[in-house]
Amino acid sequence: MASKILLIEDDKNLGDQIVTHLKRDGFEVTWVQDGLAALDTDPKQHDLVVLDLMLPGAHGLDILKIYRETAETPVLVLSARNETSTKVRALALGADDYVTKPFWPEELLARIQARLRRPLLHASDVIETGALRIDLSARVVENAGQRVDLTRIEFDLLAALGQRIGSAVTRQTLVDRVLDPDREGTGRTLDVHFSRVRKKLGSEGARIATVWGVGYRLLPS
Amino acid sequence: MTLRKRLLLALAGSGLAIMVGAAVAREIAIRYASEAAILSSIEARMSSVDQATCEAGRDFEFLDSRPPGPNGAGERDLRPRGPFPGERPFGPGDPGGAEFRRGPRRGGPNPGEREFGRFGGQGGPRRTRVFFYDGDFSPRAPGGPAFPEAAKASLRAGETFVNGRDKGGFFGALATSWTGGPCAYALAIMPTPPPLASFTSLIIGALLLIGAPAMVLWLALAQPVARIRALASGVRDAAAGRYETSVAVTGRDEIADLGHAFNDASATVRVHLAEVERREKALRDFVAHTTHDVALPLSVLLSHVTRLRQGDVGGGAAESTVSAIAQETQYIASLLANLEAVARLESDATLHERHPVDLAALVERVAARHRAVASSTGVDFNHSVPATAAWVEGDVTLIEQAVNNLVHNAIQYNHADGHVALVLDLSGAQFTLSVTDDGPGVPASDLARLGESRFRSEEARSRRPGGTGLGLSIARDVARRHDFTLTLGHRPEGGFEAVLAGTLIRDPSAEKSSNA
Repeated sequence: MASKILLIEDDKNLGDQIVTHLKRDGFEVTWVQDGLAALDTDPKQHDLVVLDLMLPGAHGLDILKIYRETAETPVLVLSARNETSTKVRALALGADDYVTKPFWPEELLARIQARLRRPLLHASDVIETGALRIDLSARVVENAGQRVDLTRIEFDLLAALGQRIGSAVTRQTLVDRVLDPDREGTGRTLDVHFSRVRKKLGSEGARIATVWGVGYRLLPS
Repeated sequence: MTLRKRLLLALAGSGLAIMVGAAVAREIAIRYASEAAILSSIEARMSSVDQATCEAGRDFEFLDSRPPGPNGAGERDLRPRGPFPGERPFGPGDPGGAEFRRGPRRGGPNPGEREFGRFGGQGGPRRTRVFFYDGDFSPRAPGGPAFPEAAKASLRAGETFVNGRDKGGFFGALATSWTGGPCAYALAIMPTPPPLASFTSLIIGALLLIGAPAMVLWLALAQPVARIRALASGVRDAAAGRYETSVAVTGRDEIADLGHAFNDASATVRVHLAEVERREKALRDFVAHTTHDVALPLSVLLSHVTRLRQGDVGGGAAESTVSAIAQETQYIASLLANLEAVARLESDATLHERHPVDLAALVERVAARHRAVASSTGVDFNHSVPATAAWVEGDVTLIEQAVNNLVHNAIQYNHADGHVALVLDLSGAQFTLSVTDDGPGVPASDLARLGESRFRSEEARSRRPGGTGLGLSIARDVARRHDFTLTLGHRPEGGFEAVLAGTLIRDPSAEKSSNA
């Protein structure tokens, strides 16, 4: 089901562009063009609110304050004023994030998606992605239903990536978290371990990507 | 002499004048009290008038040896002195009181002198004349003074004694019990005593009373007033000269203090004026530089758009033109943010706004911002943040701009198919935020200059190849103000690396909940 976005933006051109981009990316968008109309809108009917601050009728921060009295809907603030005090105030009033104008459409989209994705971070002990099933408590990995035989280090490395699918994890993090510096050495051995994991996972192994300058990432299926 | 002493002296002078005035006022008061006493003395005299005397055809007079005291009858020493022996009665041809005889006097003024030369002194006797009138108020003796009208009415109304004052002097009018005869009414008249002081002397007294203190004050204040005027003139001159000059200060009193205070204030005003002028210049420069700096990439942008519109480019070239447009647009946006940051940094010597800043969220924002341009230029841009928040204390806008600049330079000056990585790592209470690339790096000559910590706007503003310029200067300044370290250098395996490092603070939300 498409996520519902409430866009509160008074500028016709910018609002039109944002609506077009969000719809193309599969969101259902309600566009409100002034502050008073925004106050009449129930944020709970939406999954996320994109809120401009300088609005006719009511200031964005006042709208935010009133929304927060009743709703926990994530609010992403659009600000033309690149002022620290405004950002700090917005966050203090309960805004979840902000994007400063000018911004790329991709930038706004990335911030929206990051915010909508957030609750999924509190995942259960079992990660299922593509053909992979990683059971963190049983320390078992299955590929297309077939149990994959991994060493302790190999399992921990895959689990570390699996817990943050799509995000690059630094070599330093992986070393700190998985390798015992006294026995398994440091970063160079990581590549050896990952090449073994890739091999053991077969076609799914290609999803483990090396990220230049960072470390490794498990690509989303 | 201080103003206070000066005023005290002036007060003493005024006091003296007031004392003189009070003495005069006292004399006047005594005189009025005497008048009351005179009237009651007349009343007393009337009681000694007997019918026989009246009908014998005499008017008569009393002479008092000295005037009554202000306290009234108790002090009186008045004895009736008439009628005087040997005094002949008024004849029909006598012109009334005009021939009234004077009795012998003791120590009194000579005949013809005014009766009361001096009131309240040990002066001569006063003369009281008594006239008789019949029932129609006609004088018994022809030529007698007219009976006071006011008294007539009262006596007719049944009163037996009336006294008062009219133009003839003080009078007492008595309805005798001898009605029907020529002595139905008696009228005693004492001429109005002459004024204690002459009109001229009263004027002089009043002038003294007002003039003397005024003169004293005038003289006492002449010097301070002159100095205050000089000070005021000096202040006006200083104001006209934008407070460049001080006013001359003499003496050691409050006026001198005022002069010193003004000079101190002038010094403060000079400092503020200089500051305002400096800021004005900074603002003018800012506007001028902004106009210049933004005009350049905008021109490039317009040129790219024009080429696209005219169809000069096609296929892959069109794609690279769009990419160039994206870069120029990003550059303009970044430039505006940087110029704003410079304005902040230049106006704010110390960092006033400090709040908890989540570096992980900040890196996510920076990454989202640069991913668009990176993909359009073909640069592989990746980032990584820890799974948890990483709190530092500082100004989120400035830190974000600093990181933006490091990433912007790394992407902007990389070659197509190059790589840029933005990585936030935590180790204990320390964070390391690194921006690495595999681009051409910075020429050695420029690299040394990147170490200069001070922001030099003119030079830094110009766009130079190799990723240096305004952005890097801002990053360095921001790092310095946050007590972060910014290390710039080439990586052994090639490319450039900028590392921002510093100390984390405790999670503010955790602190709040533990406090609650």
